Amino acid sequence: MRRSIGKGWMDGLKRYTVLTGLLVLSGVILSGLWKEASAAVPAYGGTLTVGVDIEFRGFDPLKAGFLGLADRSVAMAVEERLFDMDRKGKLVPELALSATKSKDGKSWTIKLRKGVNFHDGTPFNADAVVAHWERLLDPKNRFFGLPYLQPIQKIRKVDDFTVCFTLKYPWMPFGQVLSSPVSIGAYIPSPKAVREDSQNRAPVGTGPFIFKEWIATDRLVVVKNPNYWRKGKPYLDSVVFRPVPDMQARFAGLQSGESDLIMTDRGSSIVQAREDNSLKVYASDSTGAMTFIFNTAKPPLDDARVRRALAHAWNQEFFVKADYKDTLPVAKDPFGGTLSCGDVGYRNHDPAKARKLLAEYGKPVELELLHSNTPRGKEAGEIMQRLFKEVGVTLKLVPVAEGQLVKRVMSGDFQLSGWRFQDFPDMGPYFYVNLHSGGGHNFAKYRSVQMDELLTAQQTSLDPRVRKKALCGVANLINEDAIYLYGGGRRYHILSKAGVQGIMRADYGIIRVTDAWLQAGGKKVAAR
Amino acid sequence: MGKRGSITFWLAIGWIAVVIVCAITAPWWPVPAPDLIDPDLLATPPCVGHPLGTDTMGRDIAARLLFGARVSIIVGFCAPLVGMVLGSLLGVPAGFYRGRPERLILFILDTLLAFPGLVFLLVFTFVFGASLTTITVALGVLTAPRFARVARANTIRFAEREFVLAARGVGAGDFSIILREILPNVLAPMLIYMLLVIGFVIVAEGGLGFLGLSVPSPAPSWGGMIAGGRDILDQAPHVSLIPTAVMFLTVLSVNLIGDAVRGRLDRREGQL
Repeated sequence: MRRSIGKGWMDGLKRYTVLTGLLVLSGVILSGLWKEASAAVPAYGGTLTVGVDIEFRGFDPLKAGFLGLADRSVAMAVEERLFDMDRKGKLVPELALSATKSKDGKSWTIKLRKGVNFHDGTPFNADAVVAHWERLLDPKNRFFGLPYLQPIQKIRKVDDFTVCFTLKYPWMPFGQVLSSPVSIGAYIPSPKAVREDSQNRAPVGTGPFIFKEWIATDRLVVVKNPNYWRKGKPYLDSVVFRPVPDMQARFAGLQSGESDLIMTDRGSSIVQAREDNSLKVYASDSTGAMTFIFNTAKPPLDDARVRRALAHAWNQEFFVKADYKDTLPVAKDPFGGTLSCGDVGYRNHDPAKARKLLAEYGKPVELELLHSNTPRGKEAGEIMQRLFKEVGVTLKLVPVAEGQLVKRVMSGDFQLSGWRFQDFPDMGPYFYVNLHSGGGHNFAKYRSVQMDELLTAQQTSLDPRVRKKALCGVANLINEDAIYLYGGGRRYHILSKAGVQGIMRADYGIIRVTDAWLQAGGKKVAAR
Repeated sequence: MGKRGSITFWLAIGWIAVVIVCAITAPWWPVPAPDLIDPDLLATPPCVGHPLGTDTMGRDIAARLLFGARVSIIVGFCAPLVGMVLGSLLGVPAGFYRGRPERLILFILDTLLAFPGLVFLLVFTFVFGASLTTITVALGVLTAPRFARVARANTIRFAEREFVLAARGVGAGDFSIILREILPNVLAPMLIYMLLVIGFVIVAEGGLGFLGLSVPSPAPSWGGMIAGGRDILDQAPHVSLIPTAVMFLTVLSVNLIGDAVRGRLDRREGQL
């Protein structure tokens, strides 16, 4: 009795307290959830202004050749691929519904999505896909990316919504050909726009946004596609892409609100944005790397000892710190963490070793470095000049415009030049074209039986373990023979205002505007 | 000219003297080599060992200023000299002979003056390569038309004076009149004009350096240093501002000296 009274009273008090506590707690949780929920419901409308790094190249595969970094985001907004690729490399249906490999692995049957139209009213069907691919594969058209597609024999229409690719041999990276977000050939253009020769400057696709205008060096505008096949998307009314080549001006534009979102690789901006609560930072590591390419056909760089010496004289860690404020990873292989190769024989900064190798070579070494005439290119050149001077190598700096640099490297008119490994999800085909002695883009003019064997192995094998071993072998040989110097790995950064939602990642430097929306229904639609 | 004027004049002379002495003695100063990279000190403000701090690549700013002064001084004095010689060669005959040669030379000068300077410099350095010599010559050519106009105007003024008439009277030829009577008198205003042009040329060289078209690396130039710090102006302003201040003071000093000298000469000539 006594017990029950005392306890009962205590119990009552306790219960009361607990209940109140629970009530308050659930209130807090609920309100939190409510907030979360309201934040997670995308708002429609508004204009997103995006600051990109450089003027667009164009969108016709034959004319543009490849997608520049800024073009990728526009291509993805306006056009679509047959498949998207998830982070594990699995195909995710986009314009296609399924891809089936034949038993011998030499043909792929692709079922296409029905009821989709291009922005100009042309229906999307097998004819559109076949026309696009036959145009790329025709050797007469000299498509820049054709060497990468060399294992593809032909494409044919099976029925109105089925196409079939035939390969020369079973080829594992074929899925990437259909889905790579960085390949201009993967995006299906309107056959009408291609026929009328307007695709390059006024791209027409099936994507969530319709191209509106492109005023050279000022802006490229896309507006919402009201008939987009993915119901409910996109959220934005329009997106304005503005090329702002000056890195500092681009960041200042973001801070002042002129842009809602920018892409950048300027270290100090990224560091600053990380500390700024009104800004969000998205970063994605990628395959590929910033590099310096040796012309291995011209003396003195045809001597591997000289190249190895320079690799030891070079100091990637310092370069990444001085030039990128450590916002890029240090690259020892070109796989950006997608393949774990272990030790790939990376040559560390070691001036003593460099001097020893140069002494073995015996002759004085004088070189010319091509670099882009940007502040960054100049800084890279001056750092390299000083590091090489340390081991007694004279480096002359030759600043040239970006376009001229590319032209000179491609025509072999260089000794050493700033360069980069492209960032394909699967680096195999890229290396096959860039390092095989018969590769179409072997600008380093590198010839090695061992390399050819490794490249052929990864190109033709369907066993992931064999391919991995071969690819790691390639990475190892790049360091062993010092064909390239690494100038930092690839890590893309997107900076945005806090109010920009739905941007989940910065993979391949692409700003995925399909899912983007502006908090509070977006700001006023720009008047222009 | 009052006392204040003469103080600034002597300050300006002093600064230019300091810059010239620095340019000459650059290698003997106790600072690191101008292209030596200190990987641990990137864009640090002034500290022990780096009296003016380091730039974005960890190079000593003081050392780079000293060696950059050489470029600025050489270009700043030699380019106007080239311009003055070329300008005299064109301007004096034009003013002396008048008539058709004058019209032809004036036409050439007007064409050169109408040509955008930066475009000319870009083309010139692209064709002949960027080196101290080519940049000096290019800037010299660029300033020549201005000198020519000064030379012509003054030649016209002096060609009608009594002493020229007298020389002609005793039978002196054109060449000897130009050389003995006209040139010595034209030279004074030309030299004063040159002082003003020095400032312009130093700034122009800085502009080229800013665009990365001045003397090739590793030789430092003030313009290049200003450009190098531009990217971190918000975080480490000293990297750009120190060379900017040095260039500003130098140009200001040259202009002040030019103004003061001109004032004195004008008074002297008034008495003539």
